[in-house]
Amino acid sequence: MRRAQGLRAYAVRRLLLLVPLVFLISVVVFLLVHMVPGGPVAALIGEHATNTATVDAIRARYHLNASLPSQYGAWVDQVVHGNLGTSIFTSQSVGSEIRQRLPVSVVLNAIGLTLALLIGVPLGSLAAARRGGRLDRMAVGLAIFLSSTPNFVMAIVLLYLLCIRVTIFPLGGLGSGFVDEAFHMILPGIVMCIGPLGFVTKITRASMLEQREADYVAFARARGISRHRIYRGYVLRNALIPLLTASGLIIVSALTATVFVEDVFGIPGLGGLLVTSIENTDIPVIQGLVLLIAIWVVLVNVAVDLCYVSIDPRVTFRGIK
Amino acid sequence: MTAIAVVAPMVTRRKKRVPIGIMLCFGFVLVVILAAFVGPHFLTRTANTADPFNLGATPTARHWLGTDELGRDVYARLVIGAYSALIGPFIIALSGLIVSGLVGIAAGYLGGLTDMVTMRVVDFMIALPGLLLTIVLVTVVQGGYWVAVLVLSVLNVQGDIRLVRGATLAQRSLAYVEAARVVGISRFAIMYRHIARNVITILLADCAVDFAGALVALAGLSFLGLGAPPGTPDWGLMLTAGQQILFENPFASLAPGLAIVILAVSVNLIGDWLYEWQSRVASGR
Repeated sequence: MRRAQGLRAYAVRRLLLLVPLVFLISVVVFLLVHMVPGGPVAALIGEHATNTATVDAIRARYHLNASLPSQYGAWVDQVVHGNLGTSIFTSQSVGSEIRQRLPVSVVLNAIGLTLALLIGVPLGSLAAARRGGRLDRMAVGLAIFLSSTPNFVMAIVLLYLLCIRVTIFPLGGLGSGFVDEAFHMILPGIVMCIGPLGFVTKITRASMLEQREADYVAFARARGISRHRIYRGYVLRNALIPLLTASGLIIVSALTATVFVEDVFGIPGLGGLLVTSIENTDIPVIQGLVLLIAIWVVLVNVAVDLCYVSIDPRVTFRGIK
Repeated sequence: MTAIAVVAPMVTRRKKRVPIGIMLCFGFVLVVILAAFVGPHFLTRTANTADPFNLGATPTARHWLGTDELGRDVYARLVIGAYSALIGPFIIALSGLIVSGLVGIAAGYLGGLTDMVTMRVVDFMIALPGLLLTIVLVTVVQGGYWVAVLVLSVLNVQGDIRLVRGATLAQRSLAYVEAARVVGISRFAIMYRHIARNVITILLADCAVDFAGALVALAGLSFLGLGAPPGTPDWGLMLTAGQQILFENPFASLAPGLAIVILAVSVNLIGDWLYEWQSRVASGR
């Protein structure tokens, strides 16, 4: 009962901490326009800002003649009402650009993370169970190899081997129809999982090894519980806690991978959008994406923290009123 | 009984020798360093001369790794590109080494406010999506390679500080530190002469991992067109450009790709090995 109260208090405090953080993020995103060499006008209409009438129109529209704080106020007002500005390059609204491309990226991230967990956790636990054995050494080697191989290199190598040398998979793009779309997602999905997979395997193995030495394992053995049940029922469950704490980093690394994977495979998702907007220095789109990514990262971190304290019964809330 | 007699000398012998895999890793790193600094003098082809009759040609005796989309020699570009592959990550790892050595030891040894402020900053930085942030900043500021190196140096330092602080905390309670304090050695000397000597190996191991991470990150930025300026021989840039002619000459992008992977894996393995070696020494085996 007291723990539930403590948990609630912790959650409230953690969520309240979001307010200054979101404010900070919004200020940084707002200032991105002002960081562009050539100033905000150049950022908002591209490089050739020679026509005075256009410049004046832009200055009036984005309140650029007002003071910085009141510019910020006007910008927040727009953002809160769902208006993230207009792309310099396509003249589409940033919001609709993002909305169109969000689903593919979400699917890609979900595939990558699921694969990483489905392969990484069993592999890491098996490696720990056979510490020093051949399987263990292979798993450790694989984890080091995967976590130091950049996904864009892996993407190109796989593209070459499986799409050009042996034509099993399509070269890229989205495909049409559910089956075809799913088929197009296989290779990008595999590449998405490699970075997180190395990480998950490493963490699972390390924490399984640590848990194995714990006293409760010796007691359970002494009481005659089978090795298998100890591993499945006790060791693994405890060993997954470090994985949960690291999941923020894992999710962020998958997010980064999206940019490269979508670029190599020509998938029109958020990563592809970021790359195009980088190529065109399309600041409004970059602002929108940064805002989205920052809020996602913040929410993930909060969710991870809350999950962690609610799962691990050793966490106490004595310091919190 | 016999088993013990047989096992014991084997253990002592294994401790001293560097494993063959690690030797190979050192060997490869050495090859890349040589390629970067003396390699260009031995090249028979230049990196920037286009051969208009051999666009995207497969390997021949003339062009060992074929030519790229403009007919430039891939092998020559690979050798010259070794420099920009090494220099950025080296600076990033070195700045991590210096800053975390200074700040991490101070935070761990002095504790109190220094420690609290440092850890607050570090905790904030760990939650940042480093590479994405670098991508955005480099795009907006339009800075290129050196701005990327600067941003990555700043973002990279948090992990090192955390590690050094932890190692320093472990050292602080040891007898030699107390002895030094009793004798009256200054705090500065205790931190940066005595403790530093005991945490340097673990820090070096961490810097090797940083180097590999920075190599991959910088190659990624170049791959997106944000790192090295267009036209320079850079592994990341070669990878993107080569992707367009994957059908004609796959080596144009596979060769730099593999170079990045092997270098990153080698450096990571060296770091891991250093780390284990250090913990073996520390545990007195």
